[in-house]
Amino acid sequence: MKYIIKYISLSILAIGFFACEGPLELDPAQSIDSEQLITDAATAAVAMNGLYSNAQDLWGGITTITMDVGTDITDHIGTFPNWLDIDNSEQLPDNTGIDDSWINGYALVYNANVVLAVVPTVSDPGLDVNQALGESRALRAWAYYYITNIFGDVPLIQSPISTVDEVNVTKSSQGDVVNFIISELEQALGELGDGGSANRITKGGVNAMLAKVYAHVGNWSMASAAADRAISGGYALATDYMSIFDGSVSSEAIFQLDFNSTDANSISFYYWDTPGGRHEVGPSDMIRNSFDANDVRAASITAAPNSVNADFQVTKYSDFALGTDKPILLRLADVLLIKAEAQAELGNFGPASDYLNMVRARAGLGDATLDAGNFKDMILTERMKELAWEGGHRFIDMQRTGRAANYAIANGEDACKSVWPIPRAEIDANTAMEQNPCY
Amino acid sequence: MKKLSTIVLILFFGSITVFAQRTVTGTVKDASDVPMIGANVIVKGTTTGTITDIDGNYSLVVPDGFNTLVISYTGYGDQEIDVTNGGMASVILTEGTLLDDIVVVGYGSQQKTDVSGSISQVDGDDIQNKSIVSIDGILQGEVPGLLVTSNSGQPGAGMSMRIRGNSSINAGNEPLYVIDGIPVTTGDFSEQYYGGMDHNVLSDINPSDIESIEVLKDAASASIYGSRASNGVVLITTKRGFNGDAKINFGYSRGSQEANRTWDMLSGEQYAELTGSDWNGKNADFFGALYRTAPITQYDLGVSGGDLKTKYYLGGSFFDQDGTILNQNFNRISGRMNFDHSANDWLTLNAGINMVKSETNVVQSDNNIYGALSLAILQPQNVDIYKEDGSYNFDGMFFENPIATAVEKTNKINSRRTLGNVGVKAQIIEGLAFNSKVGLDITDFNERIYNPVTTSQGGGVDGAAFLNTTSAIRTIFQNYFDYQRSLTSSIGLGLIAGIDFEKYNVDNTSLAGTGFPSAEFQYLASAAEYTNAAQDITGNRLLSYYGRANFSLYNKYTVTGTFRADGSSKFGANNRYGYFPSISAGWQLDKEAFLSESSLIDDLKLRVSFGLTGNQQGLGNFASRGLSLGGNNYQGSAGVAPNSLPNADLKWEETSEFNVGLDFGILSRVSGTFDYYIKNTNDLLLNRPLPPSSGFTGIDQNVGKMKNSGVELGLNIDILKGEIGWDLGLQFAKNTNEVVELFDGQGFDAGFINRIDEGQPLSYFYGWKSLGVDPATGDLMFEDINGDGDINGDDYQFIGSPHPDFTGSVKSGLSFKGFTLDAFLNFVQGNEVLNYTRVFNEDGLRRGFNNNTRVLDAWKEAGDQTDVFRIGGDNAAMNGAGTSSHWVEDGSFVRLKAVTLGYQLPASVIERAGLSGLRIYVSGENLALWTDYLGLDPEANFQGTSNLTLGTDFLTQGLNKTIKFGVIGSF
Repeated sequence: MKYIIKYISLSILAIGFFACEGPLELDPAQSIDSEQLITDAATAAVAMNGLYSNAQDLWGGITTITMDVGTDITDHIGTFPNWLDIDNSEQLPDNTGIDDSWINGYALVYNANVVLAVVPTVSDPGLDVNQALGESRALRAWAYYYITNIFGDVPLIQSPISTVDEVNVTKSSQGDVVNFIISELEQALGELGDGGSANRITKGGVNAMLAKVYAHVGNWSMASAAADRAISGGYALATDYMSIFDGSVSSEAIFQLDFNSTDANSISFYYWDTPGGRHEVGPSDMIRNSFDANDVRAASITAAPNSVNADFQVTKYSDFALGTDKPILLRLADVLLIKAEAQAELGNFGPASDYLNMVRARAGLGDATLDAGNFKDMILTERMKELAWEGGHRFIDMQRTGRAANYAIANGEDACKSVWPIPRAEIDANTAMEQNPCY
Repeated sequence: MKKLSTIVLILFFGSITVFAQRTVTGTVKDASDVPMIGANVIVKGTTTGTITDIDGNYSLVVPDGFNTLVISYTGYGDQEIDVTNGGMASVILTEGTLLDDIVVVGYGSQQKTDVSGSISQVDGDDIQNKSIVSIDGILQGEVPGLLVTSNSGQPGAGMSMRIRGNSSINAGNEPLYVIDGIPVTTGDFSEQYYGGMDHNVLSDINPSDIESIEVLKDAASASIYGSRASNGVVLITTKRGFNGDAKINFGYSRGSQEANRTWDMLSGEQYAELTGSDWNGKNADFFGALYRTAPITQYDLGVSGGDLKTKYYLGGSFFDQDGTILNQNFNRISGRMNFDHSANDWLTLNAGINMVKSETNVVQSDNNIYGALSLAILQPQNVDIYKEDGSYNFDGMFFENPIATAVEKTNKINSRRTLGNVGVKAQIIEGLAFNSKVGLDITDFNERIYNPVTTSQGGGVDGAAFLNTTSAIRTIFQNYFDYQRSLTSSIGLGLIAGIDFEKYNVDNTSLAGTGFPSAEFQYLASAAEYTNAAQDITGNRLLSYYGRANFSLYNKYTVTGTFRADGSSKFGANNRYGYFPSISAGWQLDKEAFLSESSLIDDLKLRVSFGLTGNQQGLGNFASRGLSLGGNNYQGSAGVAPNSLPNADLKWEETSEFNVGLDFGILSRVSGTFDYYIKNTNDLLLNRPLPPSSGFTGIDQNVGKMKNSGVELGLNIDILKGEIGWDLGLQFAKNTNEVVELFDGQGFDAGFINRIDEGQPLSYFYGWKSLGVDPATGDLMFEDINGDGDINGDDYQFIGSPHPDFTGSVKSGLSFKGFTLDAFLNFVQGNEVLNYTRVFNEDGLRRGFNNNTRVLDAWKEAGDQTDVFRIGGDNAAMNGAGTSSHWVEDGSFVRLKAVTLGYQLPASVIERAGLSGLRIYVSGENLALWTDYLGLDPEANFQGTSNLTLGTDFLTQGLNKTIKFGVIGSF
């Protein structure tokens, strides 16, 4: 009996040990509670990396390819129905390619909102609050620039939600969104320090963004001024055009996302022929035939080696094995062409032609002369050839110049199909959301 | 069972010293004069006992002062005989009713007469005769209301188990498995495979070690397992030793398997003709090259025995099964030891350990453009499989050579499993015992994939390798008191109360690399580049308090109440503990005066129960927390980004279930059970969709409701007794499933065309209703519900349900002298299956895939009456769209699941060989399938473990036909 009591007492002790609340407390190993995301300079730096990781999701894959599929430079040749529909301007609200831009865009916005809200409350002398704010602000603005280009009027969310009761946000007009982008970029310019790597947001990057957004709203003098500031930021055109895409940060890169084999992207997997790639999308005949004989940029297309239908593939991305292609979002040639466009719009065709010819010369082409009659088409075509398959520029250029509507019409669809539908997931879950016209 | 518990009970009452003795011998026979082997003979009031030998003989030394022997045998009524005069004492046992058996329940066992919940029992003998690899396979067709579906013919592949339908949308629908009182780890740790190729952790348990399986179906019997009991509980009891000389059992079987059906695909010539191209004279026989006749072999060896103090069971087995597709294999070596020891008059020790090593060679299949069977079906046959030099031909293959994909690639799963438990039972006072047990379940899972440079999948990257290792460790510390007492001769009381603590930790590491020097270098050390490295560590904790009280009066009325409180680390801070009570009552009507004299009715029991159970399977370990996730790196430095919103209210799903049942026995020939139940599941775990503009696409919340209701009937009929015996078993179940409420009424899509909507069965098929092929145009006609002249998403409607109207089985057992002939048929009626394979192999040749020969009957000219739409045409995309009922077929089937012809050699013959029993048999499995389904197998499901992709066949391998020969013996 004595032993029984002894044994049971021991066991009850053991039970007593477990019977407190303690044993149910368990913390995840790969995550932290979001309240502890930013507490000092070190964690702020880590959170900033997290924000750039969101940028990789948004601009390092599906979104920019999808945008290009929705233009005249990319054809869908594979089996994904979502890209086939977009190529035919028949996209529906449940198109997963479109979903991706919306989801990744707003994920970046949320994360940036968190950083912008929390960083000013951290008291750590080691933390450069303004630098963090400037980078986050510019990334958020640039995400909004893509979101509004693709979807038109969109919710403009400027602070992180804390409960699910705050999720029903109505649309703001595209005008309001663009004005917000401009004011945010101007504010970021004041917050950012000088210098910095093209792999992150710099003053040069923000100036380039401003040049493009001012051009978008037709404020050509401001566009020109911002372009000037960007051009004088220490960048230089690379001598060899194709070397820009060799995986290094070239002398003309202004904002270029870094990727390594750990956070690999799938861009060339979609462009590249089998084996190795899927060859879902390829260059259109129109762009392939548009290059002059001497144009070195024609090398951005090559015949797909194993294609049964003699298709072609894009060569600006090539590392399908490891996914380390480094997509360039902003570079000097882009800004030079914006500068040329702004000067032409302001009636200064001489300087405009000079800027255009800097880009043409590097491409191995002779000088061109812009005038009031030809400049819109010439600059747009030059931008297409120079910047094809980079950063969705063609899509945005077609939007801001009104040609996106023509593309939809050429596909036998209504002009309003040039603005994509609000994804069904948003329409279903957001009671304040209205679908875009046409869908 | 009873035998065992009798002995165990006796142990607690201590041994009694005796001074004088005498020897009694005798024979135990059944009513038909057949000697009963292994009957228990015990001197009443002592621990002295023995068991009968092969001739039913026993010899027992009876101490002075004791004059009664108790003879018992499972399934038979106990008999007492007076041996006052010593010498010979023979006895004939008559079969008791099944209701007298003992039933294993949560934390203990009960007399079946005391059970008032709905529990189905599967006996070890039923298990031994099946050549099934895993526990879930054994249960197929055995339990009314349990639907077991084999997802694929891949050896070692998973099965899906549904007790009384699907009660959950996202939290999982698989039952909880408890082996010898210890909940075990189940599920699939494989990262690389699609549905039909899921690995099955349950296949680690050797069926030969199983003594019995109890399936707890209703809430009242299951709710003592609390927050994990909503989908029912499967209690597995393994074999243990007994008091007697060592008994050695052995078994061997060998057989061969063949694919039941293959697709009839167009030959190279037919393909060329239908596509209007010139035939190149080539005609690859992919199925001939890919399928094979595959052997299946099993060896079993078990030794059990012991004495009054110590009992042991040792079992070992080796199982080896090749798949019917080249390179498929599953093999398993397992060993088990169960041990019981009575240390002194109040303490007994028990332990069990099971070690298993299994190896699976998987061949890529299903929804996979590189799958071997997928390619064999879809690759047009106007190609060569091999080049002239014997190497694989890739010319003309659109993705991969199907034979190369099966043979050249490595997809290997190695699993090592250790299940162990050590426990003590302390008898405190008469009737009151304290049980304490520590259980451990360790799974080491290793999955290795290698695609060499010689295949096109590995070609572009000079070979690709992937490795996933997962270590899952479950530790349980279980403590409970139990008290069993007859308060008076007419009042019985049973109580248990206890506390369990459970820890579960998973450590998963995966690594991938590319760039290998040649096909000979397969391992990651030789990779030029590492493309992925990840480690994921997670786990959960469960702290439980539980109790049960059952009370019986005059052996007629029983009432049982159970309670469990589960605290889980998974639950949100506001809902740390869930409470799960239940109550049930039974009324033994046949013991009432108005029936006790009835010659018609032997048994009649009415059962009524109600209880609450929970389900937390699919609840993420940290889903209630608002977390920021690491690994969001940039430029090679660490990054963290928010990835979930908090929900401190997050908790289990809760099911309330009402059950009413009847157990009956008529004329000593017919026995059966009938049950009716209603299961309402509330607080369904749903990923409430959030507008992505919030930065998140969803958040886990407890919203939504689901309802299941149904009837179950199990019947056993002894048609013939005596020299020629014939038993018939019938099972029938009907379940109706309905999704009652979703978040904000929002339906959502799943799988290919499954959809979840309020008022509909879970994952019904949703799409265009095809009205057949228009004889004028050869195009499919679809119902235009809104009459707007357009066929679009607005015309989607209900086009089928993956849930059967009813399911069941018929078992027949014939016996004559030593011969037995058992047959087992199961059927599923009224469910639809989406044959997504046809979406590709009957697409009117529009995408370059080979088509099945049904397209030979395709519409050709106006006036043709056919159900195969035209080849080509302007509406090819509409015709071929996967979202129509054209591909939704009747999935009803009747399957001749097993036939076994056995012969028990007569004692006179085998005794000379020194054996005590020998049975030889020939058996066949999946011998015949009657169905209108056009695919390989209506049971196949390419995402069998998914909760939501129900009834979808997509390039999935069907079940195989097996014929085998075996021998089971003992000495």
